[in-house]
Amino acid sequence: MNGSLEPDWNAITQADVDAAELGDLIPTGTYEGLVQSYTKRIVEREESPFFGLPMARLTVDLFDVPINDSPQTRKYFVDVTSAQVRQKDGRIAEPSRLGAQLARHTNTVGKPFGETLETALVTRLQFRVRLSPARDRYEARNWTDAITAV
Amino acid sequence: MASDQERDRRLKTAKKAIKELGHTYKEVAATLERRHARGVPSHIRDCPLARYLSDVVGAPVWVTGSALGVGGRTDIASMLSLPFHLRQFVYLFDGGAFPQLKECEFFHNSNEEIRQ
Repeated sequence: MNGSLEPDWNAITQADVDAAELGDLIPTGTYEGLVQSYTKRIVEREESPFFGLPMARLTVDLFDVPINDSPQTRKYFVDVTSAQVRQKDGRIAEPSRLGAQLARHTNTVGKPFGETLETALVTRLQFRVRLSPARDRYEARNWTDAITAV
Repeated sequence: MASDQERDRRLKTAKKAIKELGHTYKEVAATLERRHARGVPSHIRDCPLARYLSDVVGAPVWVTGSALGVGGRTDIASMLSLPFHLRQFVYLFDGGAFPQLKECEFFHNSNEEIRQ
């Protein structure tokens, strides 16, 4: 019976939890995407390795994302920067890596990063997206593994 | 944003133009060459296919690897899925095939300057 005030009858199932956690996330895959716009900011979070550095957030329409077995267009956000920052383990941080890949695939290596962002608005691009499930204290989330040419 | 009628008219015109381009990627390339369409690889608005369709439809057309849109980029109702042979054409052109359809660098830069 739906809508009962009796708590025992309104139990949340594991399927409900999974659906809620994964609801707005993109399944792992490579999707073609159209960069619709971008915003620029200076990172103000002191604990971020990018503190004080410029960062751009791309708003991307990803095409043919399989949601409930039907392909849909979904909004997706990607942070990119021209600042090449390494993580504690020595690997290049994701926004730096994606910024470099964006410059490469828009043929704007060596040009101002603003030009890279402008060119991204009119370039055919693909986004390799990974979904990492919730584990221990970490929530489920999407990672962008790569930006490539179509 | 275009009215529903105008959107339907544009989409019908785009579908007809796509059919007339040919049934294989080679036919598409030959048709675009015959009609003097030139463009820039990987460019959603300035590739030869997008330019040709923009001229035919009478409105800006953008072409991704899997879809084309007429008019505004955020107007999902004005999008069509690209037939397989057109996807092949886009993929091959972006990869360097059909150099006869590629606009020379000098010309592209000139266009950029004119737009600015």
